[in-house]
Amino acid sequence: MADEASLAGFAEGFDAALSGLPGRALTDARQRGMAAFQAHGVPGRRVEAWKFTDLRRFLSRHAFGPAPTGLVDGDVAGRVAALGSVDDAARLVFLNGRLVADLSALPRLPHGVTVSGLANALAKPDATGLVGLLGTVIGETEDTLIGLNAAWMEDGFLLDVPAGVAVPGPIRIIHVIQPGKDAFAVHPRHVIRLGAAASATIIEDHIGGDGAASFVNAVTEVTLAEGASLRHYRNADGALQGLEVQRVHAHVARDARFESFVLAIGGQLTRHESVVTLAGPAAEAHVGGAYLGRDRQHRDNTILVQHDAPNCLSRQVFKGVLDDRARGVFQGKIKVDRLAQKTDGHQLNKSLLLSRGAEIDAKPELEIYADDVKCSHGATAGEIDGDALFYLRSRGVPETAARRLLVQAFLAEALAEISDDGVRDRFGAMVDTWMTEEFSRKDAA
Amino acid sequence: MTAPLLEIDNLHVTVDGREILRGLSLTIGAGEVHAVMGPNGSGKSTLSYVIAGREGYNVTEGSVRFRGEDVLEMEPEERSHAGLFLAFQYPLEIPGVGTNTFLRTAYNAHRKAHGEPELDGMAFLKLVREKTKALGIRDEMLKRPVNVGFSGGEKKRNEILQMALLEPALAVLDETDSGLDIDALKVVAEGVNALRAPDRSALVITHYQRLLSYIVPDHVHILADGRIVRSGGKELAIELEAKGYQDLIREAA
Ligand SMILES: Nc1ncnc2c1ncn2[C@@H]1O[C@H](COP(=O)(O)OP(=O)(O)OP(=O)(O)O)[C@@H](O)[C@H]1O
Ligand SMILES: [Mg+2]
Repeated sequence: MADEASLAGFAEGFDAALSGLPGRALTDARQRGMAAFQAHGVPGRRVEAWKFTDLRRFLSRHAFGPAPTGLVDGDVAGRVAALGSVDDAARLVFLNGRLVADLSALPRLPHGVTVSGLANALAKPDATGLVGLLGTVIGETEDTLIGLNAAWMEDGFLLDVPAGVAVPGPIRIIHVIQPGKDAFAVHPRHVIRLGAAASATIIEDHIGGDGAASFVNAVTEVTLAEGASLRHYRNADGALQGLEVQRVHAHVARDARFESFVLAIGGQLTRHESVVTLAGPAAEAHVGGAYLGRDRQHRDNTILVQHDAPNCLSRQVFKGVLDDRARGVFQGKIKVDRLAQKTDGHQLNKSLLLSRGAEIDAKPELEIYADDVKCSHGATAGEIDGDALFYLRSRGVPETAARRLLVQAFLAEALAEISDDGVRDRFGAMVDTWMTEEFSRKDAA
Repeated sequence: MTAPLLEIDNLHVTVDGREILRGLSLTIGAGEVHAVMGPNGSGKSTLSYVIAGREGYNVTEGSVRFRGEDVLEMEPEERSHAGLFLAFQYPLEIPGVGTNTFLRTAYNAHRKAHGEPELDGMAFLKLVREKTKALGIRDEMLKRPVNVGFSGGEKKRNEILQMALLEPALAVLDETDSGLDIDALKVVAEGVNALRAPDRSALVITHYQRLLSYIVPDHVHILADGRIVRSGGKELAIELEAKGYQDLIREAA
């Protein structure tokens, strides 16, 4: 039932819209992006990297128009308020991809640190530096979705921390998808740049409502200078009918540390793709995630950690729980360059399948060109351990509570990768909520 | 004779189509300690699992009643709430679940099942500390995941700790003495003896008479080839020690 006409909609009207898109200096880049997109269109299962996530099939079910510029409804404002916390250094709220100034605030930002919306930044006269920065982390790519994002990008967040500055509290970015009657697509572009020895923690909450389908095609570019440290946490609990492809490209210099964790808990389809380049000696990447799916939800984590320098460390730890006919995809790759001696690379993927209809496709890969490295990888999938379940029940723990305890214990190993105590607790509580829904639903059945 | 607590009558059990228990009958009265001894593979653990309700054991004939109720109709957790407890021959590991969480969850599940208020973290910790002290268990063990990386002896002590917390009416101890050093053996025996009461019973499965000099049984049974082939008083265990199974089973036949 692939509808080529609806896929063509992503290119339709581009030439006419071009002059109205922010950042005149980006016109060339936008045109190149559109050309890259049009060369192959939306990726489907015939493209190796998308073999298990047939995005083309998902997208062809709808005709996506531009995002409505509606107002924030009361429900959304309430949910946003509930997410905020007192120690936030800054808070930006995006509604359907566009910054909502009224709900955003920069209460505790140190001097010299820039937190702003991309559209606003591009509108400033001194935006040339920013324009020069866009696309540098990604480099030349034939990726059609990045091309599509480059063509249509309008807004996003920009974080720029000068050398030596430690941002005291978390920077909260709240993305709200408020679906309307018609399906729409947004292409946010985010930029994070930390100077030498700077540090920051970003917490992104992706939330959404019910309604028509939405397609989020986001790209985040991260540059960490020598000795910088970024903790980037994402809670993906988007729109019920949401299809989200979130790509992060990170360039990590000598002695810098990149920590990323994604809790994929809501939305119809999520693909979280990370491409991390450890470019200088002793750089570190900790890329982790927990994914929870039920009904026919689709959870994809695709990671490439590229070791380009010696003595770097990388860890990928992903654990997921899938029920009903949910489907998980894990594609994790560690690529070690000839020069990257003494690489320490670790990768782990474990899935717990709660029903016969649930499925995981795991593709762990090592590609190693150096000879003095320590790399490990493992992928397992299985059911709840029947022996452990019996042991708990024999001690009087009712079956449902016993199952729940075992699922929580299973996910705890992934959540332990989060170094921020507050975020770990909060994500843990969100998992608990999911579990409560999950098991009350089961008890009712 | 006291009213029976557990009545097993003509029990036949198959595992993977093979008959393991072949007409086993055993009655345990309130307040009594029974010992079951028997060669490897004779069906002792099978008996303990059937009582506890493990999956994969098919009862093809016979019955098991606890205080007159049909145990085989009950879920494992219901059996536990009713007062049955099995100390496993090979205690299972539960990665990711802290021992203290495990113990508290089990303890509170019992409180809830009996309509009593649950204990909060502090109150429970106080209770569990009393028990660990009596059993010579280091508090550090409570923080570790259930049985993960525990030594054989530590696992067995953990079983006894669970028993001490849940205070079952009938404890089935499946070779709890195996792999224990002599001091641990005494601690385990003291744990069992501390629970002895006119309304509590125990079924002690063991290969060694030594445990039975600490936990003195009222009755000793010899299980061979899926049946009780001989029963007697505590002196039967001593006779067994001297003669071995072969002679005793031959005598019984
Ligand atoms: N899951 C199973 N599948 C197949 N055979 C089994 C299974 N469990 C038990 N058996 C068999 O049943 C028989 C009785 O086993 P059981 O563990 O009850 O013996 P036991 O008396 O406890 O022996 P031991 O003294 O060695 O602990 C053995 O022959 C064993 O191999
Ligand atoms: Mg046994």
